[in-house]
Amino acid sequence: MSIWSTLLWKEWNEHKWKLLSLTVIAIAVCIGGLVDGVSEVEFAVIATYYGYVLFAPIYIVMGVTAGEWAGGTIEFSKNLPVSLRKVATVRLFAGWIVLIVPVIAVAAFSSALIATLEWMEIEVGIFHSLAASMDLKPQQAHWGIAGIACGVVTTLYFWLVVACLNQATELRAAMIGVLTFIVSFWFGFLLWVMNGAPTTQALSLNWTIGAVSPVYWMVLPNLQAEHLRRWLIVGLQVQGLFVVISSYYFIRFYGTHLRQWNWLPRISWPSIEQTGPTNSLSAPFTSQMKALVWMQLRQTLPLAIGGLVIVFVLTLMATRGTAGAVSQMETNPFQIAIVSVAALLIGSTTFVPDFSPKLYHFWRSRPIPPMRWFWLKYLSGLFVIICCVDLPILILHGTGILPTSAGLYSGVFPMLLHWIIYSIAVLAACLVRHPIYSPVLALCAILTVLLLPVIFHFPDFLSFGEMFNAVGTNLLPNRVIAAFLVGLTQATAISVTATILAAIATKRDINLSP
Amino acid sequence: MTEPVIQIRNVSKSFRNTNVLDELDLSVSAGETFAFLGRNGAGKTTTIKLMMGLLTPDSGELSLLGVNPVTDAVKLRSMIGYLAEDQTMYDWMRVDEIIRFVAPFYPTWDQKLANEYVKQFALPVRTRIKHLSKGQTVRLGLVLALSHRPELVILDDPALGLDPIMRRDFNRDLVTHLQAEGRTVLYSSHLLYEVEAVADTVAILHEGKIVRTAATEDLRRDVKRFTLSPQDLSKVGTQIEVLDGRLLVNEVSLIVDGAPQAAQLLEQEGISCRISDLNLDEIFEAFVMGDRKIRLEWPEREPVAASSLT
Repeated sequence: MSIWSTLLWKEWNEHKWKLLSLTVIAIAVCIGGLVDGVSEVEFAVIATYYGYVLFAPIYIVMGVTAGEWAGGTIEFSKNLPVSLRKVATVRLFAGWIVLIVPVIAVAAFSSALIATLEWMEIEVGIFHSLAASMDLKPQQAHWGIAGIACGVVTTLYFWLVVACLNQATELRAAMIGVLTFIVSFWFGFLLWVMNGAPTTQALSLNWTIGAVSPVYWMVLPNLQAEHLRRWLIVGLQVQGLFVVISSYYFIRFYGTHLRQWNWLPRISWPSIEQTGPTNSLSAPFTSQMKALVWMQLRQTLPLAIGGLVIVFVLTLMATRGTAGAVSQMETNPFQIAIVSVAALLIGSTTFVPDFSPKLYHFWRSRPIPPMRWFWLKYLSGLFVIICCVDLPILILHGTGILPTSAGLYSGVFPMLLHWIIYSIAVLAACLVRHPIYSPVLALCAILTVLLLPVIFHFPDFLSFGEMFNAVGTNLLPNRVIAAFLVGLTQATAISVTATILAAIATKRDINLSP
Repeated sequence: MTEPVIQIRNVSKSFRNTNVLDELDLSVSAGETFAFLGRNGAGKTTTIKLMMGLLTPDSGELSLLGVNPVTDAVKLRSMIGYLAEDQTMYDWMRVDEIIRFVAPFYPTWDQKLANEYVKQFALPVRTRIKHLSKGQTVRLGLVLALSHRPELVILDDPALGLDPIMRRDFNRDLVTHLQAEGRTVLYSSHLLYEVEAVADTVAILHEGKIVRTAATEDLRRDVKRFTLSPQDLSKVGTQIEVLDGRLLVNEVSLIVDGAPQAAQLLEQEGISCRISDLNLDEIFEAFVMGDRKIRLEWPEREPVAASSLT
């Protein structure tokens, strides 16, 4: 076996389950979108790509940039009789391939479907009309959109590997990833507002800084033949240059030094109060609860700061955009989506480090009541999501700083959604105890719980999504309240069930780790 | 007679198809320093995890300090001092912070004693755990394990990864701080020379079973090396309990359990032999790696082997 094939074998073994899970999830979501009729294929495909862009790059980058540091294998890799740059090169491109394959798989699946529909002489919605207007065949338009999706995830991936390089834990990488995504989205949003269809001059910005902006082109009324042609001619060149520069940076600095976050705990008040002689101990905590609260406070502080930064950037996005931008685009769905990703990642990775075998053995072998540990941890994570992210956004909407057309009930609903997502993510973390597999399992469970009732037309009172839609529409006030109460009941039932199961898994040490 | 501090009866534990412990029996008396010896994978850590209530036995009973670890694990942990092998702590905490954090979970925590240990071990109290050396981390673990004055201390290969000088110092600390105070210590290790100096009693765990338990001095007295001629060996046959037999030039070297009885038997038979003492390393090796079958085959092979050698 050559060095390259050995390194590829290692990456394959690290990534194979991620590849399988992402592919299955992407195709399952796409199939889910077809339940209303196979001619809805364009809706299903684009919705799948949108969701994929939001989650998959951050998910893959967590492992690529921080996996070896968190797992403690970086020293082993450094000591191998092979240049660390070779290790980094294989790691970088293996992650990228894992990211791209599910997009191609969805495209291949939908392509086969479109071909079948054409053979059956069934018109394929917008693909068909778009293809006619662009003098393209539906299949060409469809693959063009798949190409745009590949381009978007590629640019995001290379941004994220640079931004998240050499982080100590997957959680930190994920938080930086979310922030990078938001900033990228913001730039892309401004570019889209300013330029609409990308001009040649703006193309370089669209494909680099505004990494996410081309997703707007997938909204088919915005997609013109010119977009596709420019992307093929100039966009690919610009993107190629960007990929080369990002790759060089990653390969050059991978594994060189850990990026420390030491400044964060230092500014926390529990540290400041512990002054005194440097060679003697300060008084111990007077109760177990105080000790556990102190520990959770210290662990949660970086997340709380990260959450507030997310709120700040989202506010900046909405208030400092180009004049009239907000009216051109509804920022609320993006806020909800990005905080959902944050809730998923916080739920998964807040618990996972304490479940790493050695640290788990340490705290579990102390007389620390596991239930007290669990509930404090659960509540501190929930506190970050609700009090440091959702509540500030709701207040900003309520005070008019953030523009909104939604009422109070509609404003509270995202909190319920994030509570559900966080609780399911915690359950997955307590069961699987793995920084990579836990979020995937959580994502599958969340999609199942939230989308299944919509896809299969369950009665409305069983569908959280339907209730969410109901409170956002101009129904009579009493119907909005009823929808809100049903949604609240659903969220409580789902979240409480997931949380109790997670608590049982912790107490009984139920470990389904692969 | 006082109740044993640790009492394990017929405990079995398996993981999937691997039987790790097979009807294990163990008893440790108060004030004893008990060395729990075994090769890597012998089941030492599994036994300790069962004692700490971190695992549940498939069958059998455990009792530590009169408490059942299966039903009352948290209470038991507050009564025991425990230092795990290669212990990992919250690396973002400082030395003083982890002591401050751990203290309230132990009702008998003595902060003054903790302070004394910290000074004695020269631990830098304002340093983060991730910046401590291996030796400092082990010593910090010892502070956490001992500062609540536990009646029972369980040390699971605590000196693993330390250099020989650090290990020697660590054992000196152990002797100083624990034996002097009359505490019961269960010391698990596969490095025999480090427990030899401190252990009162030794138990050898092999393939999930205790193959020998004895006071250290008794073990040294009972297990010795006998060197005799192959012809003489054939006269005593299976009457000697041989742990390990090796053929040397014109001689057979046997490590025998029950050395006083064997010496008496050989004397009665008029067989002359050399008897030499063994250290704990050699005794341990004989129990876990010795070739016992050689004893039964030797008498038949002996004439051929002897002639070929001469």
